Amino acid sequence: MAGRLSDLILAATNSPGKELEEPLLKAIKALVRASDDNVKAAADLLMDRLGKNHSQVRLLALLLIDQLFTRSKLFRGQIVAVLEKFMVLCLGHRTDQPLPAPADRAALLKAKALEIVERWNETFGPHYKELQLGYEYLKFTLRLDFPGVREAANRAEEEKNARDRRTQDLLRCRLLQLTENFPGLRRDLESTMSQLEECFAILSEEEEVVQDEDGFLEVDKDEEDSSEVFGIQSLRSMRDQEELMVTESRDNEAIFDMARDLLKLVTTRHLPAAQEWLSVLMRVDPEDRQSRDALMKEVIDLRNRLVVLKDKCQELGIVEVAKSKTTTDDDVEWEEEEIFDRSKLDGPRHKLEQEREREREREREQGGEIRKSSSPQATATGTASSSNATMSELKQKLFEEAPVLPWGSFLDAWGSDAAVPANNRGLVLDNHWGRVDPDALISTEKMAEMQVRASYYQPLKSELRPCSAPLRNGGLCQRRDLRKCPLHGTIIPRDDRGNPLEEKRAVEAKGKEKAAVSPAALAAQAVRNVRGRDEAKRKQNKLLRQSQARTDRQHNEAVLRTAALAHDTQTIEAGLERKSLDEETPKKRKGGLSAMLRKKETPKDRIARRLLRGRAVDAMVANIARDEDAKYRESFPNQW
Amino acid sequence: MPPGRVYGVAPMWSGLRERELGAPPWRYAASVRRMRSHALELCKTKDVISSGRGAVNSLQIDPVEARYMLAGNGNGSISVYDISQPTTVEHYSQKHEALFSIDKAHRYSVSSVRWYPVDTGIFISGSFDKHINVWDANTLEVLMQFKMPGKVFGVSMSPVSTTHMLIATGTEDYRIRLCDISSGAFTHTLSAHRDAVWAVKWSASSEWILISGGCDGAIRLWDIRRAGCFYVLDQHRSSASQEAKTSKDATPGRVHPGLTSALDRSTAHYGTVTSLQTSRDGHYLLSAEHNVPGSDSRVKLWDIERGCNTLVNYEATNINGNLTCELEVSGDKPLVFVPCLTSIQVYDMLSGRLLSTLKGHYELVKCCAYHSQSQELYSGSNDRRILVWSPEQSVSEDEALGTIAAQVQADEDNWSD
Repeated sequence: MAGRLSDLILAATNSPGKELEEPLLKAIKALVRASDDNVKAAADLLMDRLGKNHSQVRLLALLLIDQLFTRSKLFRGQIVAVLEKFMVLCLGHRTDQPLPAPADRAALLKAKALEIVERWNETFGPHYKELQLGYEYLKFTLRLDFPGVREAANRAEEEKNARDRRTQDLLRCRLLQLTENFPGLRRDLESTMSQLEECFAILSEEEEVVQDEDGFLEVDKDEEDSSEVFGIQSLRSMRDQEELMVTESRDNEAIFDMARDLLKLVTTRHLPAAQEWLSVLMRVDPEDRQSRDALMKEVIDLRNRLVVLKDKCQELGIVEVAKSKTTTDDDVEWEEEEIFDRSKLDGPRHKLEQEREREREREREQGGEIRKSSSPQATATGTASSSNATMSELKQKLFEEAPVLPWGSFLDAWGSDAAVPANNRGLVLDNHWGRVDPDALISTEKMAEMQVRASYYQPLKSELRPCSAPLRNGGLCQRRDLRKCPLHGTIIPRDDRGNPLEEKRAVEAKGKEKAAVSPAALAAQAVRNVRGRDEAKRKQNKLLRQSQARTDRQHNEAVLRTAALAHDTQTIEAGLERKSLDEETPKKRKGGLSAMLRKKETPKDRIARRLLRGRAVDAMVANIARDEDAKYRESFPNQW
Repeated sequence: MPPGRVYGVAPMWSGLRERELGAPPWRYAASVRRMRSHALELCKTKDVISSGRGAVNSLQIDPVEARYMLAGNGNGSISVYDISQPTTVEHYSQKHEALFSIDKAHRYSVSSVRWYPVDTGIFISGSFDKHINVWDANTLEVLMQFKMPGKVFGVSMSPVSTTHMLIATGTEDYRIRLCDISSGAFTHTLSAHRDAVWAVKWSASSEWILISGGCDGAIRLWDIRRAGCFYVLDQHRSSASQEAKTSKDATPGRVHPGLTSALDRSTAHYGTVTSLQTSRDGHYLLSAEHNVPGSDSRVKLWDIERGCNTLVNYEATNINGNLTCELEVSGDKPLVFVPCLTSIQVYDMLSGRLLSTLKGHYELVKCCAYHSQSQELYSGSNDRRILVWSPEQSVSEDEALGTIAAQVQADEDNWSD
């Protein structure tokens, strides 16, 4: 039992990962839970592992101890009894017992240990005075930096509460303001709304008249084409909706203006204000909830009414003045797009749509400008664009031909063939050396010469091809070098599997040459071939032997591992898990614990090894000495 | 045997039967006290909040009320704690904060503090700044100051004196000076040590007898009424050898205080004597030795009456304080508390058997003080804490701990998987 436990703990603390392996941990837990003796044995074993001279082992032992510590009371007692030693081994705060080798793991170990000790102190401190004392010693005497997880959380919570309180205060203030001002505001709103409604009432009277006329028209149409009764009916219903839009005429222009102004007032002021009140009312947490609820109800009612009014406005085609002016062109375009979209539709419906459009067009022409938006500018741009179309084609063509030049001063007088005045400053300058001719001109040729285009040479950018030599892992080498890949030699064209193309050709060529060779050469070639074959065979054998040894090794490891894991319920049940464990271990083993301790070889090391070799250093020293000697002799040639 | 119980101590109920049958009550009380004192462990409910920023160098509980604990700190401050009345009670834990603390009582580390044995109105402190201060505990002012020739290692006042008020001082100087509080002058200068004197202790049985131990490894006994030291303890003179001797020559008698040179040079320890402690009845003397290279540190028990080494072996002591450390002796079947690196070892005084090791401090333990009425031990250490060690807590206390502190996770097994 104890032997298996020790095997398991050994296996768990011997891996290079930063976390414990889950199946091993489970097995250990199951085993430790079984009896008190096992708990004690586990504590002893783990403390022993914690004393190992390798930070990785210590880290894993610490994690394992933490797992058991939070679970077993007996284990807690065992660890607390040796708490001082535990702390020294995990934190390395004693100068005579620093944490051992891999530095990154040592740092991780320390951080983890601090976190764990803090957590233990929080959960078990009151029961274990020693823990509390140890924690306080580390924190207040040694001033180690504990992560302070709980404190941070508390602080964040407090900050959040304070923020909430502040916002609530603010909101309450605003609520107070709102309740004071509400009657006045409400009166404003009511008046606006009633005005709007009156406008609608007037307009709707006119509308009725218009609809009546339409009705007659429809009847006529019905009689004309009875074959498409259904289509026309649907069309009519749709049109009825559309036709709610009252046309603006000289008679009702004032009303429309009025409505537009009111709408603007509603959308720009009242609606946002109502929205804001609502948000305040929703967020605030007042003392008097009932009044708040009542107020909220009223505000919601008001807002709903406003929205309804706004919708109605839109139905009637009343658009805000300012908005419509700025978005004139957009509107036109949007309509065009819609037409285009609809023309895509197929069948009778498509026809109907087209017809409707046509009718609308007609109406528009008849009624003059339906909307203010359709301005004369729109047509002007339309014609301009049509005339531009031919121009742009030419331009396109020219653009394609034109070279792209970088900007330069030579562009200032591009294409001009006029002479340039020499004195172009507009001042009469006196020259001490004689008279100045103010009208002097610089000739075109001279000018061209002066402003000849200069540019820096830029080598043509050619794409560097990847080396694409086949790699061991199945991919292709992606290094891009000019001529020679440092790993795979000269870059040669290769096919997409990495085989050189040239070689093939060369082989083929050789084959052709082979037709004419001397028998002596042939014999030599035969000998060479035999030797080559032997060499290849030997190599293959060696490889085979190596691979055999490797598989043997792996097998042994796997067997040892399963032996360590065997016989416990958890892993027998979870056979799958164990299999996966076995599979991944050999890979992990490659970077084992001892590899972690070894110092990584850096380029600096390699260079140093070459440069600081005894002979190189000696040669260097000798060189320097000789140079200095020579210099001295040159400087003081006649001295002894 | 339940864990935590010490072998050889009868359970509490066994005495009850005896009492019913007519045993005197003090015997029962003594047995209970003994049992409690054998089961010391770190106290979960009592905290002494040490005020000092420095190490705790010296502790003493006042001999009058056994209520106020005096602590001398490494940063030159002195504080007094009320150890019976907690300042704050929080859930289950009682916190004892300092009643008062005198910052900068001395310029340098306070090495030794003592209460005036008669009442708690006065206490004395000796420090490395070469001064001994006598303090008024009510006004917290210095009543008197004695300038000493060197660092003061130890001060002592006689617990049984009725006729004198002398402070015995052990300093860097090889001479022991006795300072008189009533006159404010040095009354005696006792010179016989060859090196600094680290420990001085008045006898618990006679008010005239002073015991001193120094760097030279000698422990000398002085009768302050007469000139010179009258006895030097010799480590090689054991009770066994003396018995043999007395059986040979029938005239025992004391050696004359003039002392033959051979006797004068005898030593009690090979290293420095750092601490002296008498048993409560004044019959025995304990001396602790500082760990000097080439000699192991050990504690020795001396029979003062017969002036010989009892050869009791206190196993595996390792006293590594650079300063004097204080031993403590308790009760009627006496225990010895020996500060030993970061732990305190508890021995049975007469047999030398190690009873338990109290671990809780994280740096060198410098001193300890035993409260004989409540059977509690207080220990001060270089890690600036004063820890309380009390007898095993009763079940009710443990339950209270569990129930009151509901926000704390219960201390039970918690196997989720």
